[in-house]
Amino acid sequence: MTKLEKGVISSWQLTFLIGIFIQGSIFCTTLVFEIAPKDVWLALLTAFAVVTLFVLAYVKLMQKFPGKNLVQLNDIVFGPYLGKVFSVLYILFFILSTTADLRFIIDFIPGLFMTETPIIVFAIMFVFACAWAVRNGIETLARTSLLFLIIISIIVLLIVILTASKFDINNLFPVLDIPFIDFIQANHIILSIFFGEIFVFMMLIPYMDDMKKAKKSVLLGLTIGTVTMLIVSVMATGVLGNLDSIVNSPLISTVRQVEVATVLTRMDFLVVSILIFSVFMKISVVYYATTLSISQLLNLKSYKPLVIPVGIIIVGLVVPAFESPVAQAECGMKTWPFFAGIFEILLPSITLLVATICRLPKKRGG
Amino acid sequence: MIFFVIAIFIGIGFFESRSLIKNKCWGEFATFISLLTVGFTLILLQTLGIKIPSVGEGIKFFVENVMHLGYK
Repeated sequence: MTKLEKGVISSWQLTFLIGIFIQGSIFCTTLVFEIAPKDVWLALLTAFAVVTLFVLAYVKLMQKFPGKNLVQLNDIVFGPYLGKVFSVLYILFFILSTTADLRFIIDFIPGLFMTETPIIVFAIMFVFACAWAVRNGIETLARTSLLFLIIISIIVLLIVILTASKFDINNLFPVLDIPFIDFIQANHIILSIFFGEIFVFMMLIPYMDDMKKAKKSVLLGLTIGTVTMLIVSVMATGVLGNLDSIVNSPLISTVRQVEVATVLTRMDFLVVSILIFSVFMKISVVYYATTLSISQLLNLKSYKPLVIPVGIIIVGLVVPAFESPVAQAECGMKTWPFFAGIFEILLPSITLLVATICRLPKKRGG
Repeated sequence: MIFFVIAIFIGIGFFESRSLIKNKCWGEFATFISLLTVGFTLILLQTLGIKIPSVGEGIKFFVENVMHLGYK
């Protein structure tokens, strides 16, 4: 069978892709700030510890079946019929996940600028840019990830320097002064929205030049993403104090505190740049995985003809997906973590379990 | 507006399917047309002002009423 994607990525490129993919959830910190305003950093660390275990399981699964992506793996483990059912479910989840991420960003931008512009216009422009990147293949996405990762790191560093004078360590205390269930919920949100979607890389890892380095690359990328999130959340809590649970976007509000000699003020564009670069990469990766999965499922020769129709479906779903940004935030906090858990944790765990019990892959002549 | 949407979709269909037909990639062509039809239906319904069921509400219903889970 010919490979759908001719491109190959290095272990470093995979690291950068994963790093920026995790950073792509930076806009969702608002959801966690509402539940555990002073404990976001702690929830991030505990969720990181948990997700590391799952990531190791995903990598183990990929290394058991070298060169096989998620769809091929489902066919091998569950057979051609049940495997295809699982793959269809994954594809639907990829589309829903892209739609939700896109809705977040297209609601966010008109909330700050261009308030009269209909959100569908932002959706079309954003998906068009992502479609262009996806059509150019995995190598282009990987090269872009390095550039964007550097830009985002510089902006985060700039935000840290500019807001350092407003930072008060006392704002981080008391720790865990919330009901335990709220802390669990904050962890659950971080696990499912920030980190869990990393399983999408099960479609990309087979295109690595050296599979043996997959574990190191994935863990390093995860660490880069988590460290960025940690810095941003600690800064937001330290700068805003008790305000962070009531402001619309803690990140924007933190940057609005910047005032250098009354010249450097209203630095909102810094946060918007971070959001656009990181969300662009996150959506592109999931969008790429969606088209690749459909092509793999239907045994097509190329995924490229599917890029535009899949983009149109995403644009078609994005506006009716949620009644309002508030409805989406409520879904993200209360129900999405459970729904996403099915695809991010339950199904991959079942796949690994079945593969282990059935001693797959079977050795030839054994 | 409806004619504008139809014209856009005909343009996309013509632009993309030309090379697929030329290279006899029938599988790709069938999938492309099927997905484009789904996308076209979604966009056309919204252009006509017909309400499409909300995905968010669907997820909420599934988690709360089928899985019996969810945070208060």
